Amino acid sequence: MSGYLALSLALFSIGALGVVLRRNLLVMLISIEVMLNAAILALVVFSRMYGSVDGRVMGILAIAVAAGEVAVGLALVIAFVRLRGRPDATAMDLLKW
Amino acid sequence: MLAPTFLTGPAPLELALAPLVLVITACVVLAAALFRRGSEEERLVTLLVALGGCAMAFLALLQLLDRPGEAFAGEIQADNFGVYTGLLATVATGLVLLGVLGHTRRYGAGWGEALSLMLLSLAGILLVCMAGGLLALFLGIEILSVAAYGLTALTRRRGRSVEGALRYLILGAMASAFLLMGIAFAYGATGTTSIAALAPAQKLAHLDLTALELLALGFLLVGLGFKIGAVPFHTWVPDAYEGAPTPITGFMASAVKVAAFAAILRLVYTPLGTAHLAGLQNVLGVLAALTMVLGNLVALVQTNFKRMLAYSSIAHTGYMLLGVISPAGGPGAVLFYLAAYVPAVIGAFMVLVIIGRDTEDLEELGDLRGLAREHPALGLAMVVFMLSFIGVPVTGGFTAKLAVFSAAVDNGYVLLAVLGIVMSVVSVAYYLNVVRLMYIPAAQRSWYRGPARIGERAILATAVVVLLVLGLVPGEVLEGALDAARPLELLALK
Repeated sequence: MSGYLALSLALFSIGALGVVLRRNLLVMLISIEVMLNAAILALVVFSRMYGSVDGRVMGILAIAVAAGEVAVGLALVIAFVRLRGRPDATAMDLLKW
Repeated sequence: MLAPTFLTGPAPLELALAPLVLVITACVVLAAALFRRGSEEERLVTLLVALGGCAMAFLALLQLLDRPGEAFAGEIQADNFGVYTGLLATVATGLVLLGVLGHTRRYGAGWGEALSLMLLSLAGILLVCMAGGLLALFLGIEILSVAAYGLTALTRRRGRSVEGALRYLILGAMASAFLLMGIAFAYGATGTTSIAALAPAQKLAHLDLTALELLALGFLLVGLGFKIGAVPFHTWVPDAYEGAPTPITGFMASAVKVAAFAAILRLVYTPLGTAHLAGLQNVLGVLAALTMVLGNLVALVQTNFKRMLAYSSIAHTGYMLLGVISPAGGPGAVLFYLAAYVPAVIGAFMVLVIIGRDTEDLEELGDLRGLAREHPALGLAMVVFMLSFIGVPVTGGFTAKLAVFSAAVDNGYVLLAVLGIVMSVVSVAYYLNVVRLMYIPAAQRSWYRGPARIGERAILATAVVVLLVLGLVPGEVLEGALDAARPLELLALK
């Protein structure tokens, strides 16, 4: 059980590092998905540990939420690329301080 | 009267009625937008439908006042805390909708989508306010956030709008991941997803549950810290506030903030939270201090009015955090603070919307130069809003700050309360700068010169009256807020 939890925490950290370190907007979105999936994995592990379905139900709904979030995210990236030409976070320079 | 539900509490559908009405109205508005021909009348009608949806949600919530109940396996619960925060958010959204009444042409592109997104976001907010389980809480926060990302990017050909929305989305989605991780570990530590029953579980032989509890609280704190906009998780606030069209900024600063504070109060005051209350208080106390100091100091040097108000809203988050960490009287004080903050912030953004009618959104501080000479009533209303932000007596802001700071003192946070008062004095500089600019002779002005529309007058008058009432005769509202939050406090003082 703790092995799976360690995996979940590791995935979460990898995702968080990806968001912080990478500058490509698509990679950042994928990293966020990795973080969400780490949380879903933890939910399923605990669900199994307690033998209750609550965690699994929440996991399934969280998958739907993640899909909605990434859909809006991709739409915004497309709008951004139309304006700026590349999906690069360093091109975000209109808003300062 | 004869219905048995009157005795046993509200029926399940009654509890979920307000969010359901909003979702249905949003679908109707969106469907109407699909077949639009883009005429003025059509946009007016969809706006009235949206306002009607808000009004129905308001009435549905009003029915639940003083009638506690829960349904859907405890995921939705109606206690007075949830109903009050829900009513506040609904009124705030209604005011914002009323404010765009005269602006159907200006926000013409994506009109129907904007209205339906706002209604959906409000449905999410109500779900958060009335959440009795972690699942409802998470779904509510996600619904309101995803809709808010879309709203921020509404003017999608403006670079700043898209950029603000992207930054909001990336940080917001990351915060959601933290939140979900926290929820997963809270479930792991307690074996339940009900907020009221979220108590440390029996020890399991093969896992150290204290570690799980601490991990859960840590993840939850980071996630909620982002959502309320506390330093150091505040960076999205100014970007989103500046990027969004001005009425949307008013919506985010009022209704969305109410939901964020409802969520953090609900999660801090669970058995799990109160078991580690001292640790939570230490961490949140440091965050409160940082938030008050940084918010106020950075607001001093802003030249963009919306960005200045964004940092001011961060500062107010800091003051409210003082209430969050004060179990005796604090949660009620936060509720009252929100009630006094919402009208002022909506009013301030609405003044910007009104004067910018003929042009693009006006948002520089310099745009306000000479405003009070051209529009004395608008100027006077803005003065009231600024005084309330500062916390000058007679306005609601004073009573609110008094309630929060005295709650902090009662709970032994004298130093933090003093810091809050000092930072309020610092904030006088940038709030009164707005007043000064409005009353000096104007060199050039490009704002709207005609009289304000009826809806706009209604909002500003409502906001000013509410602020004065909360400042002069706060008694009943303050009592109501304290009563509504008492169940939370009892949990911590037990």
